[in-house]
Order: sequence, then structure tokens, then C-alpha cells
Amino acid sequence: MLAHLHVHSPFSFLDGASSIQRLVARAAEMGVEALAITDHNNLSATVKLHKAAAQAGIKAIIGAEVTLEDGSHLVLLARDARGYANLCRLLTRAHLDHPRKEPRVSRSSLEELGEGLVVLSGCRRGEVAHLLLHGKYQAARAAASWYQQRFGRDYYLELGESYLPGSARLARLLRELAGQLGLELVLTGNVHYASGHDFWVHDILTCVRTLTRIDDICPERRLNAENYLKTREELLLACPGWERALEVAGEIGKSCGPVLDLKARVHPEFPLPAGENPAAVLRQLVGEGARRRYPRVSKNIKERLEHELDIICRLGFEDYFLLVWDVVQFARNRGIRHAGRGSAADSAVAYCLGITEVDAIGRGLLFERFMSLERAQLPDIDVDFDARHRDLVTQYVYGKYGKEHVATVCTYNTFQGRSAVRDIGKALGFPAGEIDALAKRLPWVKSGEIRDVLNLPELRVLQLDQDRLELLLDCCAQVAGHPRFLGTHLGGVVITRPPLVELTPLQLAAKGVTVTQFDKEDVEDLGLIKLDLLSLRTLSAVEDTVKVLELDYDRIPAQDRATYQLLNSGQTIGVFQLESPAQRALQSRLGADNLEDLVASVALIRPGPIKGNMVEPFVARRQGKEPVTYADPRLRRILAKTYGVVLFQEQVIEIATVIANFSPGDADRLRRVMTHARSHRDMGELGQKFVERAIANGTPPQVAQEIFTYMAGYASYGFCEAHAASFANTAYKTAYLVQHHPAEFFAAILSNSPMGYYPPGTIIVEARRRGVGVLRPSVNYSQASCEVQDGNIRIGLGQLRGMTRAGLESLLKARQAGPFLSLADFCARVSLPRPLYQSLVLCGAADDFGANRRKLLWELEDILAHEGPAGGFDLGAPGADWGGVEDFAFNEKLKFEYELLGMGMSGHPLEAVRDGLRKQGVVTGAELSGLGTGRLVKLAGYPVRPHRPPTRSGRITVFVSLEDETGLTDLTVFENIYHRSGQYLFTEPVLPLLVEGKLERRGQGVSITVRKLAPLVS
Amino acid sequence: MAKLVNQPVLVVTDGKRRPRRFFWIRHWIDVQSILEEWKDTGRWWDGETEKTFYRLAGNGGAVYEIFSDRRLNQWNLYRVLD
Amino acid sequence: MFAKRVIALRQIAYIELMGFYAGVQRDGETPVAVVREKRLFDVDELAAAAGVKPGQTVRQGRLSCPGLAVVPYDEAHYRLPARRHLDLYARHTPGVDPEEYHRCFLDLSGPVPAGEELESIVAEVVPGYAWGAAAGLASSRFLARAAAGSAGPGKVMVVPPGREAGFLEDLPVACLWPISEELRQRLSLLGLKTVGQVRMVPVAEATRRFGKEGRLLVALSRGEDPTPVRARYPEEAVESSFRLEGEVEVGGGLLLALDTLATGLARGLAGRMAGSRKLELTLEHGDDRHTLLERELVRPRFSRKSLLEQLMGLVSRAGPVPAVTGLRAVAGSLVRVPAEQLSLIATREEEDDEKWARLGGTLESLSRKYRGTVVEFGSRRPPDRREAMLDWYDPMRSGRKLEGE
Repeated sequence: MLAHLHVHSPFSFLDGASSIQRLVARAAEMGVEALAITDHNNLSATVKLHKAAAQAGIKAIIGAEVTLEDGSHLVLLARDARGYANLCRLLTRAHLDHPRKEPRVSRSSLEELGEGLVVLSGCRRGEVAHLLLHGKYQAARAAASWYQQRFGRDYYLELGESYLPGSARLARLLRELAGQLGLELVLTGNVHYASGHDFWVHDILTCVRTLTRIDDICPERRLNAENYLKTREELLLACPGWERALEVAGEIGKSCGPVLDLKARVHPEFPLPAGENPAAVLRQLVGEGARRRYPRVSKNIKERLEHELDIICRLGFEDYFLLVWDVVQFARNRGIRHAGRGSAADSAVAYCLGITEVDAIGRGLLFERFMSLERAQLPDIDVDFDARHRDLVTQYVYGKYGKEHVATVCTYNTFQGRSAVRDIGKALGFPAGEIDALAKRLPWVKSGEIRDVLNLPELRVLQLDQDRLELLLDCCAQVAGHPRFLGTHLGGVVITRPPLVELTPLQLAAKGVTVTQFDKEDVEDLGLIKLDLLSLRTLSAVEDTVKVLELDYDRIPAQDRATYQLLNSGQTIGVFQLESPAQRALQSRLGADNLEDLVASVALIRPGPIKGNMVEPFVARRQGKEPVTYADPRLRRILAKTYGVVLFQEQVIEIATVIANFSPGDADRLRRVMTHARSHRDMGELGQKFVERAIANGTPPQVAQEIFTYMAGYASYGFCEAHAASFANTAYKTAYLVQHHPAEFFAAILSNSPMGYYPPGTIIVEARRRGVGVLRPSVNYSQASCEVQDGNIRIGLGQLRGMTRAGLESLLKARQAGPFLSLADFCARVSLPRPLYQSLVLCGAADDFGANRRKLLWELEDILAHEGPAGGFDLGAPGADWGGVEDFAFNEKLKFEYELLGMGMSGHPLEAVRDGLRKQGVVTGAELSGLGTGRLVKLAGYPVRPHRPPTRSGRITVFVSLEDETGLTDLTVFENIYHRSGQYLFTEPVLPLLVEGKLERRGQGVSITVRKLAPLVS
Repeated sequence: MAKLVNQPVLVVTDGKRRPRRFFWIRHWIDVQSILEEWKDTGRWWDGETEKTFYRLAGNGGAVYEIFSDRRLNQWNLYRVLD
Repeated sequence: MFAKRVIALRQIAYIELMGFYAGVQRDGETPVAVVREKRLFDVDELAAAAGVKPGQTVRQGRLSCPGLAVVPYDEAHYRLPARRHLDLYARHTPGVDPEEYHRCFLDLSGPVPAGEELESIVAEVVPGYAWGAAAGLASSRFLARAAAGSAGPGKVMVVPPGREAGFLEDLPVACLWPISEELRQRLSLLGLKTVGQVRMVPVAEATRRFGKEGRLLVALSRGEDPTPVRARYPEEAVESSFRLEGEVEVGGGLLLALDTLATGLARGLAGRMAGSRKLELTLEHGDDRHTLLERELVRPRFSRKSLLEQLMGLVSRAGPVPAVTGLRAVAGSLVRVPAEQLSLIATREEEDDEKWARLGGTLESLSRKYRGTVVEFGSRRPPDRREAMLDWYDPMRSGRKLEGE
């Protein structure tokens, strides 16, 4: 048996040059029967190795090359599950005991956690080899004996490298030592790349790792190209007479048992009082929840809940539901706003437990889209929390289940296109300017085609060193997708029943969070359950609003007419998910009057449906302008709520169940395959299967075929209805807040910015349009965040660019003693850096002390120079008399306000030129509603969020909103105009535009089809 | 004392292309034994090819390091240690 | 008798050429503007006549001159033309200190006022390399540049000694170019708009209010600036040139010429113990046209062979160019190279050739005498890197060090 026991994968982070797939494929090709991956101090390759090896029919051995406290290396292999658990614990300790430093394994933990491990003495940087090579035979012997005493026959002397100076001597000495101590020798390859031809990739990666350039000399670089996966013959050619050691490697390979069961379900355990059964508790909680959620728990509801509970318990997910319920319960008790999202809203159980806010039964949502016996995939419950308190929730989870059982899922930052060019270009010695030029000009290409880039004219003009450029591009192609470093997943937390540290090593990520060494996919493959605790700023804004209003968010009336009127007007800026121009245009035509319409809206404005031209037919059917038809009468029940259009994934599943008699689980599988089917052939096969079963179920062949074509057309971009419903819920409620409490809600949006679709400057224009006054920030009246004072929004001091938390706190604290009487008083009581004082004056926050901001700046200079306000220079012009200082002009003030606050306090820039514009016949956005359709109008304003969505025809159309002092007007810019003057739309800084075009009306909305577009010159 | 020579030399090799004797300062030096053998890829990015080094015990008692470039079929005496 | 005392006046000139870049990149009769960092950087005469000004955005430029051709700033084009006018300056004084290709300080200090000399320099430069020049002459760098700034195109502004204060009085604070942008902005925020107003500030006050820069601020506002003009042009470089007999098409025919250039450069570099990180090759085309090829080298080159490789690479990447009558190569950005590397490379090659020919015969006879394979000689490369790597990898070497301890 040929076994390779010392192999590095890319998870050795820049010390392994071949992907796991490539290593495994190469190993299989040369008849290797067991392959160990031994990365530096981590087990990140474990799951991927298991999967790849199983496919190739090779035995996977899990190990690591650990660094000991003296910096020497040691190879540890897990012989069995116990050994794997110990290895995880060892590595966790090595990482957590040395935060922000290189992980080190201590000898004492080695002694303590040695069970089940096979220990190889390591490469040349191993203690024994190092001592032997440096002529310290006795010390080497002592070191080897230490291990021999602890590990006995599980300790092996390793010869890992050949063809290096001293290799022959090292081989001789190792043999001698083994003979004296009665130890076995083992031959390994210290593999860092799959084949000898790949060594250059490794060499370059070493340069990247050591931050050196390729011409530099660096001891970490390898002397030769011998660290590849060698065949038996090659190994023996390099180490003649070591046949026995090679056999030993094989024996070790044979003796290592499986350490991980990928099919195991390591579900978390929800702590319950002794004697209580999780299933019973869950049943009870669901029962209570149902009574709270439904006025009358009908037979229908009972059956559905029973059905769900049955599947949940049969799959063993009752603890998981309890656990999520508990987290949500915690958030509720603490008043942390939250909302479930994603497919979990397909579950009535989740609704009864308060995890989601969508009535799955009432909406007829399919539980099987979320969970089914057939799919038996791990469920994924995502919950959004108020962005400010998400960490509190995470902390609660850590606290409740203990650090041993909880960790955040990691992500791997990988080498991709431009960043790879930058890293590798630097290592290859390209000057910074050239790398920059190259990275910027590099078009997006697949890694396999990167060499074609060489012939591009825009790269040729750079006159780069051609050989090195080829090398650079080749290397980028080779390392594309390799991990560079480990990061933290946004919200994914895993909770396990057995200690997590026995399933994965844990380490500290940059943010100070303990993370697993496995990413999302690995965690899923391992059968660990992940809980996504996400943060959503909209919820923070909602929370701020309802707190001020003392409003019961859950009691917001469901069918508020005024709210639907607002939605129908299309003026939905600030409404969650429905505020983009495309959504506003849809709303103004759709005439939504119930939540279903909003659910459909959320699903409709997506690249897929837009490209598929689903929007227009949907609107036409909704308004009764087009008949709603069904290919089969059985479809009516399923598609009625979307007017006969397949919009949701749940509908695809239901059609397959009803028409072709699929079981719900099978139907979901069908949907997933249809979604991902890339080729015509796959689709054809699926179609045949569907049609056959449909015919067997009594459907005419023609109709069956028609239905399948229809489903296939939409399956690829169908949206999860449960998710759309969750979002629509929040959308409706935020629309209610915009309609009835605009001041409070817009203040909250501003305080939580950046959020939503629009910048703060646009939000306050919208607030003013709705009749809400906006007051400048004030050192005496503003709080940290924006709030409502006498019906107006008072901008908070936290909005000021450059304002620090400490500065803000000291200001508010100082103010508790009474208002600031003068600038001098303010500066004396609050200590801030000079630029911040200056900013406070320039944004108008110090207008409390006098309206002339320039005069205040002079005063500030004097105060900061520790002199009374009587100072100043005798300059003649702005003389000793303060009254002589001329204030900034309107435009200057606005410029500072936009720079510092992102919005105009003194007014809107267009106000200053409005009189002139009127003379040119330019109207305001507000005046448009009084003008006739089809009229040519002139409009001026600032372009906001221009974007080029994908269109069905492939032609370019730009949608942009034009902001003037009265609000936003939507513009449509077609390709010809875009080519002529599109550059003015995408400038930085944003320039005001003068626009001429035709007034269009669709539904209640007004928009302009642009005919002429030019910069506004005043 | 070690002396860096790095000069081309004539070498007679055996069937495995390992050195048997070489010509250095008007003498043929016979290889008594090969002490070490290693490989060095050098400045591969500049087009340098891999070199195989041999540390040899010569018949005069000195140790020599010579290397061959198998692709170019060339030999150099690299260092002399006496 | 008294010896006649010669009092050298400190006279510093500043010349800023208008339309230099646009002129270089101009092609035909279309008005041209050069754009850099999204703003117009330089405009040619036609564009200027149409009212286009540097500093405008492309949009503004196109508004005043609809047919304006906009070309991006392209450094490679300017170096050689710039050298011509800088050479011209260098004929007047060794103190040539270019700020950019079109802006330069000149040290014209001497016993007689240099106003006329500056005017003649400008007259010489303008028709050839620009459509206009703003020039200033004063007793310090600061003043000279400020004077040029207020002179406007085609004028020479001389600030006579003793009139500095009067000259500066009404200039805006923005002209205080050695002062940080931040402080200049602060001054204008405060309403201190002219240099005259700034000068009223007592030194102690200025230092107290504006910190370290305050002192400089006051000094500048009085026209004081002791910074000297340094002789920065021409920069240190090694040159080699070759004149061809008749016209030669680019291709194999240039090999000999390039080899000669490379040999010349290698000798020059060896003499200075330097390697070059920047190569420029000028192809002359006979009718005063030329093609400038240049590249930054990833690592310093100094051997004939690698310089030749680089020069050939430059030519091969030039694309189609007219026939060549002469070549000039410049190796710039010199960096020091360790002596042992050079000595290994600078051995005379003729000697080697003889030795190799001699040994070639021996080789043949040996192959007849001995069984086994007789192989050829190896190459000689500098061993620096190998030695360093082996010092690390060969335990025998580190072992020796250990024994010595």
C-alpha cells in the first residue's frame, strides 16, 4: 500500500500550491491508496478531502503539521475519531492561547491529548531532524526518546525531504537513531504541490507569503522542485534502501480508521429540565402559539401543524426549533426587533413559535419547500435582528450553550482576478504603478482564459516585461480560488450537542470572534446546524420609530387604506424593498390593495422576471386588462393568487404534486434540479419524466408538455414565496410608518443611514416634500441621532462626518450641566480636535451662538489660541470689529453642509437658481402632476442612483431619479441619448442636470422620457 | 578552507550520469565517494535550469562540490573544500 | 586701488510653458487638450483661443470648444521633447530644476539683472515647444513662481529687488504654494484672502495660531524663501549612440547597432559600478522625427547580454515605425550593484572564446580515450543567490559556524 502521509493543501495558506481536487486526482492516478493532508495548524481541508477522496476511491487521512512552542514542526495524524477530537482540541488550544500570534502547540497539551494520534517527527524543521543535521546527535536522541515514552509505537522517525544538501547524512543518522531506540522509520514526501511542474507556483506563493519579491533571497523559499507527490519509484530512487520505511507509511495508512462521519447529524441539544422530552415541549409551545396566532384553531390548522411536527420530529430537528424559538424569545424579552426571513416562513410551526411573521397556512405556503423527508437537507432558519443589537443576541447564544458548543462559521477569502494580480504582481517585482495599471485594465476572464489577455491591445501598450507578465497570468490562473486567509461569516452560528471543539478546531478571527475552521458548505456537509443571525438596519429604524411613538408594531392595521394609497401613488421612498425607481413605477401601476400584491411585487422586481418580461403581463392581468387563463383547471387553485403566472418556487412544487403526482419532497427536488439545470439535455430528461407522470395522472399529453414548458421558463428565477412574504410584511409596515409618521420614521432612517436605496440628502428632500420640516444640527438642541422636535426632524450630531463616539459623549455629558452659552463656553466645556470644532461651525451646529459662520470661525481661532474674543489682527478689511466679517454665501454654506452632513440644511442648491430657471421655462418636479401627458417639459436637478438594469432586448436603458427641491422625478434614458450624454449621469462629484423630455403617465406615476440631457450651467 | 570556484570543468560520468572523475588544474581527480546529492532550481524565473549538485570526496583527500545541468549537459566545479 | 567688488544678485527664474503637452500630442488642425485626473491639464493654442482653460473639466472644455480633441496624459510621449527645451535652459545655467516637464526653475544669479536673459530664453523656447510661456524672475523660488503665476501667458514678470512686498500685496493666498493646502483653505475660510492681509499678522501671532507653518507663512508673505535651486538636470545616466549609414528598416538589420549600444551601456555602467532600472531607446528617422521607446526594468540590468535583450525587446514592441538612421540609448535610474557581480560579468569575452576553442579540442580526444560520457563545460553565472540559499540549506555550512563557536 502506498500512502502519502505529509501533504500540504492550499489551506496551508500560501504554502500549498495545488488544489485538493488536483492532489487527490494525481494521487489516484499514481495508485496512492491513502492520502493524508497535513496543513499548518489547521484542519480546514478535512471535509473537502473526505469528499474528494471518497469520489476517487482513496482513503483520506486527517492530520496537521503543528508548530510547537520552540517553533519546530511536528506531524500529527488522527488514527481514529478519538484522535481527531484530540487533534481539534490541540489546535483550538494552540490558536486560542496565542491570540493574534502564530498558533503554537505546547508539550503539555501534547502529553494530555495524545491519545489516538500518530506522531511523525516532521520535516527538516522538526526537532529531531534539525538536531541531527546540526550535529547534535545526543540531543536528537533525547528528543526522540521523549516522544517515544509518550507515544510508544505511535511515534515514527520521518524522512521527509530528499535532494537537499545533507539529505544523505540525515538519512544515515535517522537510521542509526531508529536502530538504537528501536523506532520505526517512515518515508514521506513533504508535498507542497501535486506535480514537479507546479513548483514555481509554490515558489511565487512563498514570496507572497513572506512579502518578498522573487529576486530577493529568502530562507522560506525552497531550494528545488522536489516537494511534489512522488511515485513509489521516485521515492525509492531518492532514498535508496528505504523500502521498509515506505511500507511503514502504508501500514500507518491502513491503521488509520475513519475519523468523521459526514452522514452523521450532530444536532444541537436544547437544555430542558430533566425528564422533559424536546418533542413534547415543542408540541406544547406550538399549541400555545397556535392559540395566540389563530382566533380559532381549526381542524385544518391542527392537521397542518401535526404534519409539520411529525416531519420535524422524524428528522430530529425538534431541538433546533426550540433553540431558534429560545433565541427569538430572548430578543423579544429584550425588546430587540427581529423578523424571520427565507424559506423558514413556509413553516406554520415557525409562525406559531414567533420565529416568522408569515401565516404559512393562511397563505397556503408549502412546508416541503423548507423541509421534507425526501430531501433530508439541513434546514436553514435566517432571522434578521435590529443591526445595533445583533451582537447581543450572538452573545446570548454563546453564553447559553457555552464556548465549547458555539462558534461562528468562517469564510475563506480567496484569490480572485484583480486581487490575485496585485498580490502576485508584487511578488514578481512589478512596480506598483504597473500592477495598478494592469489590474485596472484586466478584463474579467475565466481563469482558464487568462492567457488570452496577453494579446489585448490595452495591455500591450503598457509594455510590460512580457516573460514576467506571462508568468503572472499563469500563476493567477493556477491559484484562482485558493484560500488566502480566514474570515468571519456575516451571521452564521453553529451550535452542536457534542463539544464543537471535537468536531472542528476553533480559532479567533480578526474581529475577536471564535470561528470554526470550516466554512458554510463544510459545516453543512458535516451535518452541523447553522443558525443565521443577520443584522438589518431597517429593523433598527423601525425600532427607533415605534419606541418614540409608543406604537405597537404588531398591531399595525393590516388593511390601512391610506397606506395602500401611498403605495399606489408610487411615492414610496423610505419603504423597505419597495423604494427603488422600478418598484415605484410598478406600484404606481399595480394598484395594490392587499398584502398579496406586495408579496408579488417583491418577487417581480428581480433581474429574472424583468428579463423574462413577466412584469407587464402580470400588471395587465392584475388590472383585468388581460384574461387570466389556466392550461389545466387544477392550476387555478395554485396560481390564482398570482393571476395565472408562475412566480414562486412553492408554486412549481405544487404543480408537480398536483399535475404529475410527485410527492412534495420529490417535487422540491425537481424544482432544485430545474433551477440548476444548465443543459438542454438535462431539461429534456426532466421534462420527459414530468410529462410521463402527468399523463399517468390523467393529464392530456399536450397539456402536460405545455405546463412543463411553462414551469421550466420560470423555475430558474422563481422566488421563494415565504421569503417574499416575510419581506412584504416589513414593507407594508414601513409603508404604514411613512404614511402616518413620516417625521419619526424619516428621522430614524437618517439616524441609521446608510440604509435603504437613497442617500440622506434625498431622504430629507422627501421629508420636506411631505411637509416635515428639517432643522439643522445644533450643539444645544441635537441629540446624537436624529429625532423629532415639534413635528420637525432635528438632525443629530452623530450625522457629522468625522464625529467620534467619544466626542459625542463628552458633548452630551457637558450639556447636562446646562446649554452652551457661547462658542467660548462650548470650547471650554467640550474638548474636541480642531477640525471637529470647525466642522460643527461649518455645518451650522454652532449657529446657536450667532448666524455668521465665518465670524464664528474667527472666534474659534481666537479661542483655540487661548485668547479672548477681543483679539484678532488689525487687518483693515475684516477688522477688529467683528461685525465686519462677511458670512459665507448660500451656495458656500450648502457646499459645506453636503460635505459634512450629506444633506443641505440651508435649503436645496436648486433654490438659488430657481428664478433663473423659471425664465428658461424649467418647471419643478412637483409641478409636473398638473401638466398634460405627452407634453415636452424642461426639468433641472441632481441625478440620484442611476442604474442600468438588464433588459430583455439587451439594449441599454438607464433609469435615474432627478432630485430638485420639490422631490424626485423618475427619468428614463434610452440608448441613443445615453450614448450621447450618458457621461453626465455617472459623474463624481454629481453635477446638476438640465433635462428635456416627454411627460409620461403610467398609472398614478409620472415620469419623463428624456430627449435631451445636458449639464446645468448657471 | 572552502573556495568558491564556479568554473566549467570536464567530467567523466558513469552510466547513471554521476561523476567518476573530473579534470581540474591540469590533473584528473578521481571520485572516491559521493557524499551528498542535491538539486537546485536556481533562478528559474530567469530561465535557469535545474542543477544537480554532488559533494564528492576526491582522491587527494579534498572535498569537491560539482554540479551538472542535465538539460544542457554541462558540468561546473562549484566549490573546493580542503 | 580698490578691487572691483562683484555683487552677485540672487536671481531665480520660473518658466511655465503653455501648450507643451498638447503640442506634443497634437495631430492636424483640431484643437487639442490633454486631460489628467479628469481635468484638463494642458490645452493647445487653438483650444486656448476658443476659451478652453486648464483646470476645467472635459465637459466645460467641450462647451467652449465643441470640436475639442481630448487626449489622456501619457507620460511616455513627453520625456524626449521636454529634454530639448531643458537642454536649451541648460545652455544658460547649470542650475536647472524641473518641477514637471513644462515647469522649471532656473538659477540665473549673476552680477547683472537677468530680465533680458530670461526674455531671450523664453523667446527661444516658445515658438518651438509651446504657444506661450509664463515666466517670473525674482530673488527666491517662491517669488519666481508666484510672479510667473501672475504674469499670464506670454509675459515675463520681473520682481525687482526691494519690490517684493508691493508685488505680493494683492495676490490671493492661493499663490502661497509652499504652504499646505489645508492652511490655505483655512485662511480663506477666515476671510484672509490676500497676501497683504496675511503679512499684517505678527510672526508671534501667526506661529501661535497656525503652528509651525505660521512662521513660514509670514516669511513667504514678505517674499522670503531661502530654498536654493538645485542642479537636477540632466539626471545621472549612461548614454550610448550609434549612427547608421543610410536608412535601415526596423528588423534584423538593427542587431549590430543594438549590440554596439548595449556594449557601450554595459561599459559605462561597469565604470560606475551601477545597474540601470530604466532604459530609453530613441530611434531617429532622419527628418527630425523620432520614436522614443522606454521601459522600467523590474530588476537592475548591467550586463551586455541582458541590456541587449532589453533593447531588442523594446524594438520588437515598437510596432511599425519608419526606417531608422540613428539610435541613442540611455540607461537611467542608476542603482549600485555589488562589485563581485560586475567582475564576473565584465571579464573580457574574447579571452574566453580562445580558451573555449582550445578546450574544445581536448574534449574530442578525451571522448575517444574514456568510456562513459564526456560532457561539455558549464556556464558561469554569478553565484550570489545560490550561495545565500546554500548557506541556509546546507547543514555543513551552518555546522561549520557552530563548530567555531
